[in-house]
Amino acid sequence: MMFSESHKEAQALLDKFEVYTIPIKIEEIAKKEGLKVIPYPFNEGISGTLLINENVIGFNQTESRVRRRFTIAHELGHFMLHRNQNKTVFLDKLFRFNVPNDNQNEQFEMEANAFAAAILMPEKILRKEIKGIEIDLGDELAIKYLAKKFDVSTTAMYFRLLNLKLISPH
Amino acid sequence: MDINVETFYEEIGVRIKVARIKADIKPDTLGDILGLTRTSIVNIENGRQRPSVHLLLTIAKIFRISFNELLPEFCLEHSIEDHKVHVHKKDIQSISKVDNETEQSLKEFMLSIK
Repeated sequence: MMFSESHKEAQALLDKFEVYTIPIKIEEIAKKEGLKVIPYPFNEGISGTLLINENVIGFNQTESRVRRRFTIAHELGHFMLHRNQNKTVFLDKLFRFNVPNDNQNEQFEMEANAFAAAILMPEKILRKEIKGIEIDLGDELAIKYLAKKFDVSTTAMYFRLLNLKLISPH
Repeated sequence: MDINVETFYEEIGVRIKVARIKADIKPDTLGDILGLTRTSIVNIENGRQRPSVHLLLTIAKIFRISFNELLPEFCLEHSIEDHKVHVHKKDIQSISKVDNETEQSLKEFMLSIK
């Protein structure tokens, strides 16, 4: 599977810190990994940055809460997966979910996104939550409900469910 | 010692901007306090307008920082180049092109955490 490494790393981190409850406290996890997590009013369009040499994640404080959480998870993904790749600054301007992996940059971004999805919406917990609700998952309301529980955007939840083949595309 | 005057005022401007952002004060508000227009504040922060020493002292007082914090380091003892925040575009991993504004915002963040 394409992003199995990202998913494995995310799960390993959750196991390491014995995180079993949602919403995932992503900032706390990043801090436990030794990173400083700092809010900053970046220019519009910059969601966040990871500075390898400083062990710092900066996130755009003006963006929405779910977006900020995703940014921190995404930067943590870069730290876990790409810190030895000769890049010292990771800069994330926008998130795209369905980009073709035609170069290394896009591959890195997709891996970090996969990591973020896997850590914010852990597969095991997500499957358990779904068992608990007796609604059709094609239902937008069900996706919204799950998104709220995991404190992620509806879009992020939709793609996660899609990737886990828990729903089929509309 | 070779000092580039333009760079000097740009460095001061960035420091003022960082202090202002840290204090969560808008350019308009700072302008009101100092009796300057918003445009003047923006120009000072971009290094296009050169603030007087008296103005710098007032700004430092407003933000409750020391005067030195607004000055590029070479005034104290080192060369300005040693203390500039260096970001090489090749070291940046980004999905889309890094434009100058983005680079500036990143540099300001890096300066603010020092």
